[in-house]
Amino acid sequence: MKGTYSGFWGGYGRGRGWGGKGSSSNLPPNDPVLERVPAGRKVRVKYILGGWNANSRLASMGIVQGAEIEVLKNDLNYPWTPIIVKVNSVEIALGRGIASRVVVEYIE
Amino acid sequence: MDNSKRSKESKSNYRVNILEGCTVKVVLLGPPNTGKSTLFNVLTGGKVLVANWPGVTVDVEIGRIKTPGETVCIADLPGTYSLYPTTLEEKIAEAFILDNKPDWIAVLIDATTPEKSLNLLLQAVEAFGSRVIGILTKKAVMHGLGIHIDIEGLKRELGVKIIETSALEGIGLDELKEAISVKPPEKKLSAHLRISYGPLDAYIGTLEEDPNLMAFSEKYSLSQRYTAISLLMNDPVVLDRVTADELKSRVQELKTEASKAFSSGLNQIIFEKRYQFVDQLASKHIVRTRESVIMDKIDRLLTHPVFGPINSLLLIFTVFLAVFSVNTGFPLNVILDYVGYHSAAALVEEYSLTSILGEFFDYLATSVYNYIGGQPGDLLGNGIIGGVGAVLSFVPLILMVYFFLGILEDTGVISRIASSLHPFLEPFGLTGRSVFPLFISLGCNVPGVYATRASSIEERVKSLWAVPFIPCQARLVVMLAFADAFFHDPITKTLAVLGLYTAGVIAALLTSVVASIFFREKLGVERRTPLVLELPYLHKPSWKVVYWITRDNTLHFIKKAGTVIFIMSIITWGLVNYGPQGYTGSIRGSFGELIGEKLSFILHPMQIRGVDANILTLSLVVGLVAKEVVLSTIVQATGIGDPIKAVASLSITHAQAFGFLLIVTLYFPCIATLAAMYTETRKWSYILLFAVYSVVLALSAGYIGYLLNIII
Repeated sequence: MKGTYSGFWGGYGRGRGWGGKGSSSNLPPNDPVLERVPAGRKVRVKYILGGWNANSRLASMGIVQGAEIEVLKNDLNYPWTPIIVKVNSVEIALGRGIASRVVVEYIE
Repeated sequence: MDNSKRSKESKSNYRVNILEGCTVKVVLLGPPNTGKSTLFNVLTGGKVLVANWPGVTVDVEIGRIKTPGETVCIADLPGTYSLYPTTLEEKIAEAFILDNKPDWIAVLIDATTPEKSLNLLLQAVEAFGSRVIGILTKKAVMHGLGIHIDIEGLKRELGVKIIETSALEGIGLDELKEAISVKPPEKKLSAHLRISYGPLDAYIGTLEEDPNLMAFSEKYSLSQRYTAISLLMNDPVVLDRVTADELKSRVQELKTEASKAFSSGLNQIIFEKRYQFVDQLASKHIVRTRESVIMDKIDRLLTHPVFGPINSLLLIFTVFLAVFSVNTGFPLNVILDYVGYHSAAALVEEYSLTSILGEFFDYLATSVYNYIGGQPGDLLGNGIIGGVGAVLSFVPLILMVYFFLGILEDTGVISRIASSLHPFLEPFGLTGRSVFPLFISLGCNVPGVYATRASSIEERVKSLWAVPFIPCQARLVVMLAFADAFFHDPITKTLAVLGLYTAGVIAALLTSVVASIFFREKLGVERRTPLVLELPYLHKPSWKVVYWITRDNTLHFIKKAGTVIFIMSIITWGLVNYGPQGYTGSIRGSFGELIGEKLSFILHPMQIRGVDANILTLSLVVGLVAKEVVLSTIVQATGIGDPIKAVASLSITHAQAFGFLLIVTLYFPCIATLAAMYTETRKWSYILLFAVYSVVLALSAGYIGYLLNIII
């Protein structure tokens, strides 16, 4: 979970999750990821899996450890669609790949 | 390895000489969609100088305001969410500030989504203290959306001026001009705001007192605390500018020590603390009384899981239909023809803008040629006027594409379209942002190349290479002529054309994957660009903004790409009008013909030889200008006036014709597209590599297509 630095551009693809090369087998079993959170729920970011690039891309939109996220749209019946979340009252569309790297806890 | 990579880039300096003569230097800093360009245009009247750097695709526009006795220069920095760079735009924004030391760092706060600017504002205050000035934008619409901001409270807490404006309504502009035309009272960096970074404070404090760091902060007018934080965070822009090795090793030492002490990364701790602070600021000073319900319906129509993609495609198709029907008649002419209205189809084609412009320039060229005559008449008429015509024929097209793109961008619709259609492009490494450029390319690749601007730099490395493979209308003309000549029953004809389109689309998507592999190390391109996309709130288009987007981009095309297209047209004209014996006045005996003969071996694997191979290769060479010229070259070389008869007179088989068409579809888009790609990347090596790649791909596809046809 450490935000390891791997060059200005590098890093992201070598992480875990959709599109990455690694496996997600060492995911803690009970922690939900943002990608699976149903619409209408509010969550707090516990940590973010993946490299420096994924971390900073998300961070630049305000999705960091401790941030509050409201899931506005997540059609689990249509698992190819992006999910839509609200952070700092800005709506953000997130691809499922990157959303599955955000480990969260429910706050309400 | 990382260090070596960084040091290669490190010597880049973003100092701009245009700023030397200015009494006050101001930079506009803000996240995308905060009304930055609007404010910039209103303040400077749109008269701009562009600062750019070799090999860097992000420009910085610089404008001036004349006030009595002062010249205030304003630089419009690329959109950034943070000073800590994670994208090329952010890197340039930070480097620009460090290298040019502006007097004012104006941070834009969008009144419709104030929360998104707070992080940037906070970092700016930490870094530049009293040199920061906040500018609240779009104030006029704020209350309608039920948003209330306690400006006085924010000012007090951050210790900076904040000016409330609404650029389109002219609110607050005079106050803003007045405020920025005077330099900040003291250049000393106030320690007004000190965010606590908890356990890291001790490390930051130690580093702050390092004498080398103090000298560095002094040199770049950066606060010591922010310098220390940036160094601990490995901020590449700040790190690049550190020359003292002692400081570097000191930072490394502290970092190692700190990372041993904490379980989470240093950057993570800093990000988290900053956001906690931002959250507090937001909840203390921003109140929302009701959620906006405006445009909610449109939003739902575009983001519905099933109908969203359909509606998005319909919307893009409508834009496509409008742009290209007016400009070239396509695809309306094909549709009308198909349903039986042949005369209407002909009319649409005849009175399309491109056709009218084309006829006008033909008339002009012929008149000039007839009046002057001979070699100079040919040069002036067909070479120079023809070249100008080639550039101008693209102008209405570019203008209209930007007009519609401007509306889609300004309203926030394009982000919804991108999000809906994202799943279709995701497997090929692109995001939904590339849908619009790819679609527009079906009409013409040139505006397609420009439309990739909506994507991130990282994605554009892939999409810029993909776009030129989409078969444009010029290729369709060649396809249809060959199909008419060689495939007589309608079903095979349709299948042949569909096959070529499929090949083009496959080549485009495949190329995106190839580019991601090829540029992975060099440019840090990712296999799949993850979708992280802001959906700005939907609103009615502002015609002023649409006008600016259209005007700026069209002028950019005429100035930049226009020159390249013009020069290349003249060179090609020369190639087909001059030979070893001097002026020939036609293709016969010209350098072009010689090149065609010399290169005709490329068609030998398809068993096309002799005169046919020469003619077809020649048409490919001349077709570099524009694909429709492939036909007129065949007409000139065979001496048969009707293009379809001219094509039919070649003694080649169906399989050979199909293979040749594959080559026409895929090779070297055309000089206008390459010129557009060049102005977007400013790297000839990149363009050259692409040209070679496309030719290799086209020839291999041609041979394979030929073989497949023989087997079937």
